[in-house]
Amino acid sequence: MTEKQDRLMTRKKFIRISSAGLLGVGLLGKSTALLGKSLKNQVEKNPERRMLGRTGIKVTALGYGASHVTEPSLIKRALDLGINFIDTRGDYSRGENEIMLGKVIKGIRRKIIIQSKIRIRTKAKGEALYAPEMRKRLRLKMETSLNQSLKDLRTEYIDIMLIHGIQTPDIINHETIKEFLMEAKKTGKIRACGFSSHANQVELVRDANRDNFYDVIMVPYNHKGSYVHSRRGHYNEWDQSSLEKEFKRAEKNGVGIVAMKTCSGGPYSPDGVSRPTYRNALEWISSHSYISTMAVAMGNFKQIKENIQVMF
Amino acid sequence: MIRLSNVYKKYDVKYFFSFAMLVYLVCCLGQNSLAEDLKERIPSKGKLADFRITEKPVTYYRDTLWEYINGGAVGYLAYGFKEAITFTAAHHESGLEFVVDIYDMGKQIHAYGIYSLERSQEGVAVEWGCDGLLYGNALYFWQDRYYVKIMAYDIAQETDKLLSKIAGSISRKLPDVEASPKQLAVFPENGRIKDSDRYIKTDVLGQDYFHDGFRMEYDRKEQRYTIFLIEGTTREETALNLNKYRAYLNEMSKPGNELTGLGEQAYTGKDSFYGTVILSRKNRFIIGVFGLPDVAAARNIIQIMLGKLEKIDKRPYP
Repeated sequence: MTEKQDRLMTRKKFIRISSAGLLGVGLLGKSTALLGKSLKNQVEKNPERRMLGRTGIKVTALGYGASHVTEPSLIKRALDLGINFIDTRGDYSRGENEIMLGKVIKGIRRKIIIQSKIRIRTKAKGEALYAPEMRKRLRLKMETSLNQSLKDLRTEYIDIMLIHGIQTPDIINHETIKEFLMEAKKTGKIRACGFSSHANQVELVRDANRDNFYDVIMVPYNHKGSYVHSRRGHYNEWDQSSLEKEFKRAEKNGVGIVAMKTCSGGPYSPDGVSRPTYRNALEWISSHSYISTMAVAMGNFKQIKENIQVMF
Repeated sequence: MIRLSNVYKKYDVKYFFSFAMLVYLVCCLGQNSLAEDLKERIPSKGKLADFRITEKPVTYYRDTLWEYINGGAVGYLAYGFKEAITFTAAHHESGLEFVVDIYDMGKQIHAYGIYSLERSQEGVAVEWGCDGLLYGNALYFWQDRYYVKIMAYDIAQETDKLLSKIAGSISRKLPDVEASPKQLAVFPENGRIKDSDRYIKTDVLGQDYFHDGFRMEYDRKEQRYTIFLIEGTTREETALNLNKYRAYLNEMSKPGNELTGLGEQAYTGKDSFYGTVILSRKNRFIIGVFGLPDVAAARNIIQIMLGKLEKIDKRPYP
């Protein structure tokens, strides 16, 4: 079956699942044992996997945003249930998140796709960003961060390394950063590179589409076209149609799009009548062919149980 | 003639406004004192003579912490974060710069909790706070309800000494109380891995029904395992939650056995990360030994811990 046919299947599946939204809600109310049995049965089926752009990496439609998870057995259970994409970040909890993840993936590293991040914090702008001292600092920061992640994750390579939390194009277009990422790919320390952003994503994706350097882009995307962070109260909105236009262009360029803040737009009802659910919100995102996977933060098993159905 | 009921009404309104004003003033004073309180934790020039504060201290609150530490704020908020103050100090002689963060976590257990999650097992113990570590270019400790992080921009020969100097000057400005969680005393001493103790406020073992858990890692006779102590609200709720967790374990592996003579309720099970799991409940506490295949040894550990529970729980059981 071709990749395109795969995608069509997904769309068909989406319509089917959407119309059966109420049935899904009903099923969620069943006993843990029953649901457990169905989960176990599903593991034996193959979860849907998609190409992450031109990277050659295949990822499950549902990914695990594991940066804030502190319980290793929860991540292991998610992997047992078929999720193969984990999003982490070295500087969360002073690196403890990657150390924990390193223990979880021991023995199964080759089956798991790990996306980590380098955060570049600088107040420098314009010419100051290109001063020799600044170039040296940037390089040192990236080298230290990548090597620390490799050590903490107990791995020889990271599948996708993102430059994290970009707000303006000057950082992603910086020669020193691009050179470093190219070298890291050549030496095999990373397989693909990209960037993530919490705001201003239309402009950033548009800019990235121009030179097509980055393999992967991770930005907020949900049915609402905005998000209010559940705990932090931070609000961000974007022009949905402009973003989707840029996503389609990125897809043509072979760029893998990872959606984040997927549940921060709230639960979704496909027909506007049935009870809105987070699972439907994820199904909505997943129904778009330009989305390769979603980094969904799941702090407990109840959330995993609700969301996992998206992959099957 | 003035009617008595009108007087009451009149006085009621007066009392109401006076009371409302009093509540408002107390709230305002409370807020101000909290903000002032944190600013006062910054060492005065005399106490930190070799340094100068290069940037004006910035205070962050629950709704603005993300501006400072981005996604990292999520964990802090879950642990009851109230407010934080951050400033940069530069050492006169060496020019080395240090970023100092003081987090008010509201409660001692929360300060310990966030410290325990961020602590590196590769750190070197420092003399400051209830517990503190020096790791790489950072020194961090917790004391009373405060969590303090000091990070050096660059590593130089004198970095450790200067980190310690700043830490000392802040520690002396914080309440000096012994606040180690009493629950840690229930755990066995033998085989404890240094600095492996953690306090998990919610979603203990990844389950939304478990809260207030303590975990400790062990390495004994070349066997690594983890012990959990989970506190429930009532005996009934805890019993129900243990059954839910048993069902969770049984979902993906061969069902375990019921154990007798171990607390009020005890089971064995399998977890794909930890391996063998032995769980026991007594009143509103659950003790679990994870990853120790020797069931007899795990039973023995739990038995000893069950005996110590009364020391930490003086509440009458419902």
